[in-house]
Amino acid sequence: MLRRLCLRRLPSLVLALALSGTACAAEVLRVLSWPGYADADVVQAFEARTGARVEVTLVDSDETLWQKVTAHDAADYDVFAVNTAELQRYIDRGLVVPIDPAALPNLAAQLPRFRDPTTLPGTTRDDRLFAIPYAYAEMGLIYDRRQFEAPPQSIAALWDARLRGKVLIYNSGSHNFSLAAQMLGKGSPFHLDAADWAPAVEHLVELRRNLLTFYVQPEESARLFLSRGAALMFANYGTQQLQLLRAAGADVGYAIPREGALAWLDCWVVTRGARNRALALAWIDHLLGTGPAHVLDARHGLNNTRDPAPHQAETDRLVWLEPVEDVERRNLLWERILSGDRATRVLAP
Amino acid sequence: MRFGIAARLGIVLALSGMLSAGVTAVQAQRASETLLVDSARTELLTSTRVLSRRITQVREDISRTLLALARHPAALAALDSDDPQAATQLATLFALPMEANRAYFQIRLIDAADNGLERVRIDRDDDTLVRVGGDALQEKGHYPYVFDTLALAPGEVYMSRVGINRERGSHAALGQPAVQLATPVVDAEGKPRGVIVGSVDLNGVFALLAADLPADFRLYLANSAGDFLIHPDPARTFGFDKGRRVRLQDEFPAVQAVIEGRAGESMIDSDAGEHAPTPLLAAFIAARAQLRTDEGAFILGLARPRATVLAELDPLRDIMLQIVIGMCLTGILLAAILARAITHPIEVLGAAVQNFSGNGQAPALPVERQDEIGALARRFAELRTQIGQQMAELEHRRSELEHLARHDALTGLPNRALFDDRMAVALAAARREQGRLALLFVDVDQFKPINDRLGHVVGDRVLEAVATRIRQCIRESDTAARIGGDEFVVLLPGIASAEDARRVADKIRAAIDRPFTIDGDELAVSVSMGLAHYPDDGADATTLARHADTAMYRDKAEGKARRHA
Repeated sequence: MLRRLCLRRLPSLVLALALSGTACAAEVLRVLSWPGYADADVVQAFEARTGARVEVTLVDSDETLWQKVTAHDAADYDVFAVNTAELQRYIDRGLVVPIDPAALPNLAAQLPRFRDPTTLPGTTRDDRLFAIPYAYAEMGLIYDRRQFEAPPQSIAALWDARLRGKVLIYNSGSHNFSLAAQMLGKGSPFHLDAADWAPAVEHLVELRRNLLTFYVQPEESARLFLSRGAALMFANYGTQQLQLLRAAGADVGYAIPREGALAWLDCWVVTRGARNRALALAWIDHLLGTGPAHVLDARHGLNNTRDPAPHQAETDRLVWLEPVEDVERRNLLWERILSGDRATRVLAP
Repeated sequence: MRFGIAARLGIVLALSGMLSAGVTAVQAQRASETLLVDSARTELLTSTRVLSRRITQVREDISRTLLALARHPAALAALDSDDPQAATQLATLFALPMEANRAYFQIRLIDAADNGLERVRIDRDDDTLVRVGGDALQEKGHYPYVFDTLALAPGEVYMSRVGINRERGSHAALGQPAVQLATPVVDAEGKPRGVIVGSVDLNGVFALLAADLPADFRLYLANSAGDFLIHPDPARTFGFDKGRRVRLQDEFPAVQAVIEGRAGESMIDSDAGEHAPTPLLAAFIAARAQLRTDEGAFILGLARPRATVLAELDPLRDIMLQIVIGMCLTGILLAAILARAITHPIEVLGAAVQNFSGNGQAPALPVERQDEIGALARRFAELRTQIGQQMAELEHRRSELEHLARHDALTGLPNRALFDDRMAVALAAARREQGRLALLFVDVDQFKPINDRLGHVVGDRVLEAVATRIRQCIRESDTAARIGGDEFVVLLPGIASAEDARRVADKIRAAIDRPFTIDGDELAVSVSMGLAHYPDDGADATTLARHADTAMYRDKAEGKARRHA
């Protein structure tokens, strides 16, 4: 997932940390984590509290995570972090087990939107809870306050002809077709029906014509936004881009469109091969506590699930990422659109 | 011992020869390596600068071509009226530079209106040029090479960032590293109406430029952030396009200063990390394009394996090796000659010592030499002469003593001991040959009165004179000896008959009967004689002696009677 880029500055080598001085007879918890999710002080606090020893293995891509978990049918790790879109294939393969919410007292302290599994479709399957939300980031809209009288309310602002040549979007087939689906008023932006493709492509060709250009890296987006006098940007990296622009002196605002901002959500899950599920759940509950939550936002700039995010209202709608219906088709068509083909040619076989 | 000295000397000389040759060779090798590495670095830096200038020239050539196309009336005509004739003319003009220069992927005329729709477009497709038209023409207004170029003044040139071309339908350019150069097309009012864009094949340009670099040169190109654009391992290029960073400063940490702009160029010995097994010499320079671009500086570098640089030393090393071997062999030869020069005189002296006591011919000593060996030889020669003289004297004394032991001191005749030896020998010979021999006893008569009367001195003189006369009367093979005070004996071997012996006896008697003159005084002396014959009178010395003695006493008695008579 591209949102990982903001964390890749951390050492990305897989490393096992043996941080505890407890007796060798101590229980061992095998954690597979992204950089920033299991910092040494967080691990030490857990070890001190439980007397267990934690072995942390870091991963830096969805593919590495998948390889490690599937290597021995999830027998090598007890607990790991994964986003809701990726999680689905782990559930499909039966690599993770349902979680009893009663074993996690800290769940009560989570924000309401994370306490209700029905609003988090990716975390449950057949009414069984598989994943505990832990960290997230949404993809809002960044706008130049000087060019907007009021914050943009809708993603339709990206298509606003008055902003022609002043719009920046992220170069991603999946996300951009999701934006088009939101414009089409689809219930789920991740599922385009056969009849939806043509209008979606029309929308994206129109969006292209309204663009200044597209970006890949957050730094690149900030540079383009400032140097070319852009007005509006779809912020794939969310508040990270906001911070970059503000640091560069831009007078920019951040808005969550009423259609909902696409958002990724990382959750903790327990593997089928977990040796001690109670200990795995204790680890998850530990991470939901105030200390680890604070480490997440203060140290790594990610939203935790306890505290309201600084640029969001409680009522802002977040659309948690889900696997799209056909990622290859989305990418192929997006490449054609990006290359400048007109709608008829984009949809050609 | 001789081998020992020669061998040791040889080893020492050969070793010192090898050592000096070796040290010289190693020092020369080191000095040459340093020189060679320094000059290789300088050469790399110079080559990098030259390459950078040539890249600039290529870019300027392309820029001039694009500017010429942008100023051509057909460009504006094709934008103005969508005039098919003008478009066709422009397409022909686009094909000319593309045919001449394979570095062009595409040349396009893009309209500022209609969302940046392409108006005229020639693509390279394998070996042919394709004119793209109709529905296949795309809208490019959202690409920086369009909107940034439209913002330029006439005559200015834009250069895009270097990246992998993802524009679908771009034929040969698709998926290839490319850079876009573009310039605006302006109308009479100076209003930008479109852009001429040349898409340039990065690898094609560099393949051409690097073609005449030596085979072991490695070419690197990175953007201002250090991302590799060209690398000997193509898999490391455009890492950012695949969501990862593969950067120059990670492979060559020393280039950091160039990337950060703290230095314009950098010469590097890269021998750590992945270059530890095959260290590289490298030179990097920052090249900044003097035109409108977001790219910033490019970092251009050339590297060579240190080993291939040092391979130029191989002939020198071979020569060195030959010199070292030559010097070693010369050392051994010299050592052998020197050892021989030293050991030969020692050998001569040794032989001289060995032959000292024997009668062998003593070798000539190297006394003429003016060195220590000459001095030793001279002292030895002196010693040899001294010892020789002493030996000669000793020998003389010894033979004198031997003579004395077997001769009578007064008369010089053999004494009894010698006489007994000769008697035994003569008897043995006679027995073997069945010959004869005679034994004659001679006794001086009245000798005691002579002694008493005239003194011992005269007596001795008389005995001497008698001995002389006896000696004069016998053959050389006969033996006369003095066996007592006034007693003589004569051995006559090999006589034919008793008569022969009688004649000798008579001859002796007659000789002695002649008066002796001693100190002017005449003196008469007589002798008594007795003969014994072998084998007639006895078969052994004792019997013969007794017989001769008896005969002599008989003669003495008869003589006394004769005198009294």
